[in-house]
Amino acid sequence: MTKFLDEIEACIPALRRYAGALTGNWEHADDLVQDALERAIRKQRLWSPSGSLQSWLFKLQTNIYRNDLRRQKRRPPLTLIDDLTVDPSIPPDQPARLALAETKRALAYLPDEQRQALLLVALEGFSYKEATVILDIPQGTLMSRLGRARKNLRQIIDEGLPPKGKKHLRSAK
Amino acid sequence: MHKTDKINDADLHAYVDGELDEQRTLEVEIYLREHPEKARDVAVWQQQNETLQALYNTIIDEPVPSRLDPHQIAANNGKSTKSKNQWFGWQSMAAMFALFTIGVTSGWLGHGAITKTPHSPAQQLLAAHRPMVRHALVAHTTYAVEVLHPVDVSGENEQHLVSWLSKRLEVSIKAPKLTKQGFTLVGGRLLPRDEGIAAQFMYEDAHGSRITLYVIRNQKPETSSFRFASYKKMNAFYWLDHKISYVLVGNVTKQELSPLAHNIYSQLEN
Repeated sequence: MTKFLDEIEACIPALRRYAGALTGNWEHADDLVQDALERAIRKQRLWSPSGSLQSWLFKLQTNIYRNDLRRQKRRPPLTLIDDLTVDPSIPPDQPARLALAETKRALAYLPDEQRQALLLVALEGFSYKEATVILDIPQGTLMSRLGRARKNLRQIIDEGLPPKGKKHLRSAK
Repeated sequence: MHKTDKINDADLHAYVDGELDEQRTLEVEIYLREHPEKARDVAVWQQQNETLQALYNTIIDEPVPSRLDPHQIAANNGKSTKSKNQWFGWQSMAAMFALFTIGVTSGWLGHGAITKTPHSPAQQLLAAHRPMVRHALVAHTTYAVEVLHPVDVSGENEQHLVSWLSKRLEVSIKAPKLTKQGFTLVGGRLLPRDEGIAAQFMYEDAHGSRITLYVIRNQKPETSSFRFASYKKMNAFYWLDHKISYVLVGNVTKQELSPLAHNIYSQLEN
């Protein structure tokens, strides 16, 4: 049991990173990770030591995330608010920082399934095979989501936010 | 016989993600030399990977909060100890503004130092400010577009406006002068809040571009540095200044808004 817990512990930083990128909010990210860890520990029997513990944990976390979205019925419009301490000594327009902020914003606009595929591969460095197991989709689907994610990300950054994003604010009651 | 003829986008993605064996990698590289358009795609995807990592890798070295300690969770039989998850309870408006982050400070790449510190006092502070900033943004959205009734009391009656709002907020507030910056006072209004009341001053420049200054009385005296938030095309600076908190909102760029915020701060300081 202790060994199992130690192995889980080693995966936590990556789970937090994935959750943070997925939700765009570090507090929600840790809520999600906590849910996944609790489930993993309750369902320890379901884990077969022959597989990768990390993939299994990512799979649990992904499923919880999907269920959370479903339970809300409607996907929350993912919009980022960047909060940053204003430091007048640094010129505000550093291109690198802009690229970061824009990527983060654009990421939030990707459909969830595309965001999950992209993050598992590009951020978490999972192989395509591992990613298909975690997401429980065939490789062709993974490739198509990955391709669309990269295309959309580029387009949103190049052309600004998709116009449909505006609706969220207006339709909010 | 060129195997490069059969290279498709899936191969290119696989190349970017290190999925190809040596032989295929070589073939893709030859192909990319012959197809500059595809090479640009690949460069963009590689850049995306790097940017994503730069954005989120900071968390890896952060201390893990104790509630995520698997030993502790196991000791609790995997049952949750956390307080009710806010994520599900939020109304749509709240969810829209849910994705706050903190500490993406200047110079992350060029300077190497990243100061993201989840669960830091700064983040707790931010969580406390979230409703205020949200409310200010909502109020701006609602009234800045208003043609007939943008304000309750017009800026022509500035003295009356300021004394009325001061009385209602139970703290002495002022309407900063921004005429040198090209903005005149349109007027102001009261706004209901969950707890207490907020005031909103509205300013307008010669082109009709409007900015609003949202003002609330602090429950207890507190000060903060300038903070920046943005939502869609709105940018906001907010700060706490002893008895009063301010949120300056505008559909103008951060660069345009920043000197206004600093100017207002210096006018209202005392």
